[in-house]
Amino acid sequence: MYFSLRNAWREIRNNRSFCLFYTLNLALGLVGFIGVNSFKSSLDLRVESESKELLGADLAIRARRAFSSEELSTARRSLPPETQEIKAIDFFSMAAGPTGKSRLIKVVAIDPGFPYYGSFKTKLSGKITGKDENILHQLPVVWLYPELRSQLNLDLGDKLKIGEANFRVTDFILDEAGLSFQPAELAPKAFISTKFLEQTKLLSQGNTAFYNHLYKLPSHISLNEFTERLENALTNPEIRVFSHQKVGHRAGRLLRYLSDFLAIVSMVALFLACLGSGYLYQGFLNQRVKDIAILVCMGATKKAATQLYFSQLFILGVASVIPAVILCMLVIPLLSGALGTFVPIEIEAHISLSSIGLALLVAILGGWLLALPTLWKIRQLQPAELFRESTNSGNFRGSRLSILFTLPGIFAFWALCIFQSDSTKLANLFFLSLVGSVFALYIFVRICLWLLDRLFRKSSLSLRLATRSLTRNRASTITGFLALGVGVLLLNLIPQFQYILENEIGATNQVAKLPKLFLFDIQDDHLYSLQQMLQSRRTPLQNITPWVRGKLLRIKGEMYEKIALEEQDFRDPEEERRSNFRNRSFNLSYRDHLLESEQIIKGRMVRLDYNASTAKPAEISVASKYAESLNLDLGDQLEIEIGGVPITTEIVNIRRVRWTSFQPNFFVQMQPGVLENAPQTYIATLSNLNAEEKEKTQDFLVREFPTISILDVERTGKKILEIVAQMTWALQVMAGLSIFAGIIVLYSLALEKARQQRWEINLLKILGASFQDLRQLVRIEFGLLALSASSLGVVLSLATSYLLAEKIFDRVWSFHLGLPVSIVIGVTLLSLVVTEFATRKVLKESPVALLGER
Amino acid sequence: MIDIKKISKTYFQGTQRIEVLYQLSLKVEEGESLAILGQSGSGKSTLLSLMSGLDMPDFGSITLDGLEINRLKQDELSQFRAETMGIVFQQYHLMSNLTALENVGIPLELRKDPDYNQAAMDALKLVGLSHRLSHFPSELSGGECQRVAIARAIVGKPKIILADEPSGNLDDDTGKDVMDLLFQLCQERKQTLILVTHNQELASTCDRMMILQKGQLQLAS
Repeated sequence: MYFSLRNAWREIRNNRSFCLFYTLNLALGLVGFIGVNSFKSSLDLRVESESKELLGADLAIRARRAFSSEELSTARRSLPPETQEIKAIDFFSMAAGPTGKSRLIKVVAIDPGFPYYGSFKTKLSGKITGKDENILHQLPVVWLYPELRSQLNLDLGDKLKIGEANFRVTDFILDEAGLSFQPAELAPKAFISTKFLEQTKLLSQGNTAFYNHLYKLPSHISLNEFTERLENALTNPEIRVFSHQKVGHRAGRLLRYLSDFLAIVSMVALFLACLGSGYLYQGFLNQRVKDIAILVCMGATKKAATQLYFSQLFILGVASVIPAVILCMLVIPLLSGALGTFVPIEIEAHISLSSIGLALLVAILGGWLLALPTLWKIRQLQPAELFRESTNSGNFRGSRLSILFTLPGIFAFWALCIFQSDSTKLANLFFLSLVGSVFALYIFVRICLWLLDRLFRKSSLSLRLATRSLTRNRASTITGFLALGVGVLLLNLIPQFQYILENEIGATNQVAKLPKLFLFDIQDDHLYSLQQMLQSRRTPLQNITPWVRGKLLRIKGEMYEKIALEEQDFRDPEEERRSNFRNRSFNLSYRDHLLESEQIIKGRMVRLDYNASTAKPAEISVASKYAESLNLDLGDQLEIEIGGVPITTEIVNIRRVRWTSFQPNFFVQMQPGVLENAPQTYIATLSNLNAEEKEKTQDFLVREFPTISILDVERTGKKILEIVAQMTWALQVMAGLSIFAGIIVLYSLALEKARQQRWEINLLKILGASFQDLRQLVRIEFGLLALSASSLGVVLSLATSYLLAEKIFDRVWSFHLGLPVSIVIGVTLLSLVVTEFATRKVLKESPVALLGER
Repeated sequence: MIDIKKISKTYFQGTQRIEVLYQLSLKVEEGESLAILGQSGSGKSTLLSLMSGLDMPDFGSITLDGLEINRLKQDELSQFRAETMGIVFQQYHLMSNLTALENVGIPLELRKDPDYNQAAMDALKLVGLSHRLSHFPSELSGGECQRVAIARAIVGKPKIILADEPSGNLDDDTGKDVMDLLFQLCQERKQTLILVTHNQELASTCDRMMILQKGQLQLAS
């Protein structure tokens, strides 16, 4: 072993340029890997430590309606006697400032004592805990988020109208604790006391509000035990039980999803780095055939020779982690800054030891697995060839069996994808896409090489030599093609998705038919007067849709059981998302037509004539994603309770819904004739308003109909696009890392090629070729390679974006020519510059050196 | 020392069967120098590769220093080669990334000899290259490279030296110097020398000369 280590070090010492490129390649691949891993573990640590402050309590129960006294008693009986309890209610509402400007806000009404953990941090009063006496519970005052200052054109001391009541603004909130169930909020918050909530008259039937009861357990009590007791006691699926741990997990959910995607993208950089390093090492080892044969002749076993190179890879693997960690120290703060808005607490990410440890494992093991197919060939070495009169150091003999030795590496990469993404489905989708893309690129390049061989036989010398170099050095050509092609695929894919979303949400599409305002919580008795008033202002109400609250009782004849919440906490993200569909009451509607944003993909339109006297179930239409989550199909029956009345329904069609249209849409639509007399509110839209009209209409509505909530679709769309832009930026940084890794691979390839072809190049010089001729040759060769690889990469990315848009966005693919064209041109030019640098030294070398060599 | 009994070796090139050695027998005493002559393609390299254990005969046996090497496992053969044999190649075959000192020390390092460095320096001194210890093969002349190769072959004091055309790539004067050195060292250390060459004059300086022809060895006149 000592012999192997000592000679491995000698190999490194005497091959510095190769070792430098090998470690640099691998380091680039590891930067993203370490960065994302560290970020994720920092996030997990932080939310775990802050989870009590995020909830503001140890436990909470939450429902979309007020709790009955029986339910509250049951909850209290399940908990230790010394448990403290407070309540809080949150809901969306419109609020108007003193000048009449209005906005959608989230009203949070809290009891004295809120929060049990954490505190408010306000502009005037500083830190306020739940134990502190404060003016909020003494007078009708409100604390607001700072952005409402400009949005509502108000300041401290001004009155804010919420519903029917006026509240005086006494402070602005800089930081808060409690009730952070969601990773991101749709509207800025306003805090009032529960004492003054009734005055607003906003909590009438039909208005959506969340009722929360928060509990502080005595110290040294087992949280898990009492969480379970509470869940077992409150079996109604409408009631959700939250421990602070679960809230912490949910708070970080959005960022966790994004981190999973970032992790997957970073795997592309790692893949390219491995491709480059693997190719370099294969070339390096091929040069060592003779040395290995000599070692064996001297008495070394083939095993010792193999150990030597394993040792070398071990040292290089360790060395590659060091620059990766250093680069990460720059990357991680950027990542934290950019993604901090996706979580309600501050994340100070730092490089974790576990991430470094994992990176070491990947670098060392990865190096061994990459080299395995070549190192295996040592076993087939024929040292007796050294006695031949004309010794050819050449390459190891090829063997089809060596392909089998690539399988452990492929398997390890797949396993790493699953580990990084925390999701088998996402990892498999990525892995298969990558394999598919690599395969497509490989087939394409083989065809191109075959064609090149035939097409340019009679062309100019430079072109002929360049194409010959490409076709006769297949390994390097294919490696370079794959590296660039995959990098460009990713580089184009992410902004392509951003473009699709922007187009769909209307930021760039001038003919978008998105509504300007989305109205909800319209009471039945307000509807007529609302329509009349808006008609008189020449802004007619559109898409008026009833909104009915229902509760699932049975699915396909089976009683619907509440799924144990513990199972949901740490499930696969797709499972978590699907379980969210299942465990609640839901909103449904009825309509006799389809909207533009809907399309029946299975079945037929619901019948318009419902006869209650027949025993036939009511017909319903179900959205495809909802059907998928509950495993529903045509003919399946659901029993839904509406206003206390159970109704048996049957699915007659499954719809695809374009949710990004922001038109009123529901997971379940019933046929007309069933729900007309059920308790309901309405939702509707307003379109064709310019910015000024929109503001005026909104202010008018808040004045005249204070119980109606209004969503500014444009503003929401912009906010979503801002979030998307931030996410895209982060993903694009990772993608940029991939293309950078690809360029480094190309540089290494060009350098290696120049080294291998040094004799040929010097011979050409002796025969009369000028520096310009040779530079032309290199430019043609690498220009062709880069142009074809990036072109195909772009085509594959468009195809991938089309397929994914079909699956995720329901066929809303759009295409922007400028982006892929600029990427192809950019990458080709960059590749030419890089190869220029890589080959310059060899091209400029005096051919006299050739004569002096042995 | 060396006892080869009726070894045969056949190769296949495509479907064509080439019998290189046929029922070849040979005995060499300890300390003897034997020259094997033969034209190109006569099987000299094959014989050397069989004697060094790098290849196995199809039939027959090879006994070196009392050990039948064709029955040994690969690891045992490697160890045997490291301890008992030194090989000098026509094309030197020095490891390009190691200095002269490191190249010479390799056989002893393989034997886990802790004094390999000192022994390598002594061997290089013997061949007159103590001033070139830290030079790489690319920095040495042909003669110097072959001297390093000889130093590497003798550093472990092996019982048998196999030399495959050691002066083949050198000019006459350098070649003569190299061969004189090799003979001198073998005689001083009483090492058995098997020299493959097609240089008759060189062959005549050995104790015995044999010609490899049609797969068999015959005494040269």
